[in-house]
Amino acid sequence: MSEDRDLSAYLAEGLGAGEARDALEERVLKTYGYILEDSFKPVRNPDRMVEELIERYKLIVDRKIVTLVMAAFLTGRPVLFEGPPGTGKTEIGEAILSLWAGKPAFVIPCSENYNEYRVIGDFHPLMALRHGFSEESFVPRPLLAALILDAGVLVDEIRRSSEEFQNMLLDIIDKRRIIVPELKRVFRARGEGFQVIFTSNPEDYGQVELSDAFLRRVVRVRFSYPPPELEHKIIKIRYDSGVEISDGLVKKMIDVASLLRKRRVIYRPGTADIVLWARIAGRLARLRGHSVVEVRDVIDAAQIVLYKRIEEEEVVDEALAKVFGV
Amino acid sequence: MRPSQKYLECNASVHRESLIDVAVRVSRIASSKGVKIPLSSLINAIEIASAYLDLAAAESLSLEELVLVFSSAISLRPRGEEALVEAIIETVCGRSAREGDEVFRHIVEDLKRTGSRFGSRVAERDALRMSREGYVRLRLLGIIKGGREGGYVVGRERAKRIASEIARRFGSYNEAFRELFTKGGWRRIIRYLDNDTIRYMPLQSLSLTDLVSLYKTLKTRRARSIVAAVVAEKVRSGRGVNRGNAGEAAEILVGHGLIDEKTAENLLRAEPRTARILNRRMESKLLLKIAGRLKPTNPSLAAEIASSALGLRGHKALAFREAFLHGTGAGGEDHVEAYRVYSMVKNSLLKFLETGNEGYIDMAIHALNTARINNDNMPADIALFLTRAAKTLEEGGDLIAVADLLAASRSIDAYEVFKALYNTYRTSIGDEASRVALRLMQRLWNMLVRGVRARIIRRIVNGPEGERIDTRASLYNMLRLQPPFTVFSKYRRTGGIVLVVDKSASMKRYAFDTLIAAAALAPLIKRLVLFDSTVTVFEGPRILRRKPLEIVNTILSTTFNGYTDIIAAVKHAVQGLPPGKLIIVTDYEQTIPRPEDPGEVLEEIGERGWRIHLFTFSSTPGRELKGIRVYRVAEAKEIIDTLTKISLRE
Repeated sequence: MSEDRDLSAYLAEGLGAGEARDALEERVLKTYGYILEDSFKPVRNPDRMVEELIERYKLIVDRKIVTLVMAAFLTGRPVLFEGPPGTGKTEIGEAILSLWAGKPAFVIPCSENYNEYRVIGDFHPLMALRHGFSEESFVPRPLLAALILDAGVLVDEIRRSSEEFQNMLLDIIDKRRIIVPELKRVFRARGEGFQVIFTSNPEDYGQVELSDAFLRRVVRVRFSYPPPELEHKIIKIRYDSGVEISDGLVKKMIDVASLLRKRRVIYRPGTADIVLWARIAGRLARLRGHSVVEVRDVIDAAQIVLYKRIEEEEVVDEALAKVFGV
Repeated sequence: MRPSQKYLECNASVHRESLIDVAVRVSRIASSKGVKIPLSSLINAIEIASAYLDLAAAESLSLEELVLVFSSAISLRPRGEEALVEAIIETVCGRSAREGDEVFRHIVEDLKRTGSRFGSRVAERDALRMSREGYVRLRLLGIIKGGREGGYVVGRERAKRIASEIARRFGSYNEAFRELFTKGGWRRIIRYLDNDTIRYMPLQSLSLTDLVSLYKTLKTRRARSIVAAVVAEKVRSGRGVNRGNAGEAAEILVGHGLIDEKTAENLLRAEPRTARILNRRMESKLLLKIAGRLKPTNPSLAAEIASSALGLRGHKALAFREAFLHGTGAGGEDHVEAYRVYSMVKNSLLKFLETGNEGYIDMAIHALNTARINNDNMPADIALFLTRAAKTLEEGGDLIAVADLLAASRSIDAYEVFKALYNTYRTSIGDEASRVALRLMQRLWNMLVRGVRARIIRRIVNGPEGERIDTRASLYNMLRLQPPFTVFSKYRRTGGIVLVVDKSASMKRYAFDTLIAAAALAPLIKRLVLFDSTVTVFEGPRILRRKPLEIVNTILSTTFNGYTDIIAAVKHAVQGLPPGKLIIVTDYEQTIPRPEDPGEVLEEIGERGWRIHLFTFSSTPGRELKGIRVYRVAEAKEIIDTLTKISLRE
């Protein structure tokens, strides 16, 4: 019984008090209601957003970019984050969406066979046999849930999806409503919280080119590798292994990464990789009982993090040798 | 240029109220640059910009913010985006409008100087008398248009448009004049130039080829000497001197007496045959000195210069070349006679090896007998060769003895001997001669491979565990009481090399040398690809050691069409292998038509992670290839060294 009461409380908060709710919305709540448990007051001020991003998510984002993304939300346009891997597109997107809506965002990782049934909802075959195509046999999926719960949606690696899928998403975002013809129902967004951010890495292999129509509708924000000083700051903020790591070592790690980015290797480490590298080095140091991270820990960690392809190990070794002199 | 660099000079900002205005202007300028911005995108951009201002609680956008908001909201493809950013900067900073005014001021000044007005006719003779220079400038920039009965000046509005176009494209009036003059404009105004005016023309920025043809159009001696001085300066700096213009440049410089050692050297480097022209002004001793200086870096070029300088032709030139290349002195002309005999004997013996015809032995004996050579001042290896040749021939001179003599002689090109032996081997089937030739070939091959001295084993003193003790080196050290007494050895790790060698007709000699080098490095070579119009692939690391003659057979056997197919070869080379080192030795001429350009194919393979080294001889890729190291080599010997270095680099 108590669970029911809690759910009603969420409903009042999430769907707006006084609005009628029906069986389908109840079901959405039962499945996806967990996100409301972590809800907080939405952040709609760029300065606050920048602060929260640092405090809550340990992400350093340029204020201009945050403002631009929020401006795009206010004018009802989706945002496209484009840039090389490891520059924080996905994490920043998810964080901004969550802060904006005041509750965790949904993430839809794209692949080429994603279609509307995978994101809006489909019909349970057995239930459909029994009840026909009705609300009872309908299984809601993240996009619909986000619309009903007024949460943000991050569509990851949009270039991996089909053009059809992209167009369907654009239509939904444009008109802020989802039509489910089988149910003869139209679901409309209830607040400003439902926003969409796409991410894409144009350099990746084997993906669909974005159409002009798509590009025209989105606000595109370019991501690139941050300058070394900023990268240093980011690593310091995100480093959490407990064992102290010296600034000199971090600087050298950044040097290795920027060397590799300049080389013609297929896998270029992003900031995220350096963060992971630093963390693993820290953990290694702790396991070995060191009080500070030593060069040996960093080198050993590099073999875990930077060796992505067998053929490119030599190049990594070369870069390590050049910077650390080992 | 990245937009951020452009911001530095402009601190302008855009107020909320002027957003629409700015957007419309940006769109107009962008469309003049060929980028159309849809109205809906423009409206969206304005909306987002004003939402941005609301959020930032500001009243105006800085240029940087404006660029960020607009280029994000109007998502264009990269080329379009660049134009958009330029359009925004132009709109906000208004640079080109201001500079357009500056250019226009210059135009008005020049018009005043020539005494003409906008929109009126120009009496060419009067205008030229008043200010020839101004007239020439206006004419070149299209302010004064031509006409048979004198030109006319364009209208004021048209001139303003031209001025802003000039500002946009060139930046300033003088820069525009310089650019247009350099890019062929001088041909249009050449008839207005006289002795004085030509001084003020930006001759320095013309290319040497243009200067040479400008020189030819000039009539007066004085104007010519001005241009000649610029030519001399260009040649001295060595920029832009090439095979095509070196001859004419040399004629000009010799005519005006402007030759010195530095200019001569640059001309000779580009085209050795200019030595004949230079010889008219310079002493041949000086030219020989230059040749001597060039000899260590480029012996064949130096030889050609020296023989041209001495005015030698035909048989004499050939003998001299040989003397020059082998001789120790700079000129080497003292030994010409010795080398003449040497080359005659050598050629006869090679012919004998090839044909088995004993008449050639007689010819060699005859050459030796008739020559009166003083053995004392002859280079040692030549003297040795000639004495041994005489001895061998005296003893009857059979095939084996001659081949042995030739193969053992340092002064003979191994490739020639090999070719002669190979021809013997091919033409005399089942013969004694054939077997001898085969044995000699094998022997010669081993000798050459040993001569490369490439070491792929690294000796390590006090090696870490797992290394093998090098018994031989250790014993050697112990016997000589020379530490360290234990030597460990370890094979070098390597990614495996794929070697692609062009064996088309012109490349055979280089292919041969490359293969000798490769044989010395055989354990490192994972795959060997030989190609001309057909592609042969040899797998496995030790093929070059085990079956060298089979491979040499492939090289020397000729297909007569002379086509090369680099693309197919490279594609075969990388098929089914993980990326590693790819070394290509070729003259880089794709003569079999294919839809792709070999450069593109190479770049694409490079992108897959292959490290590509390209050795070329005569022609190089027309453009720079991304990520591919290109080595231009003059002599096959250079390949051996570089190949060894590259292969051993881990």
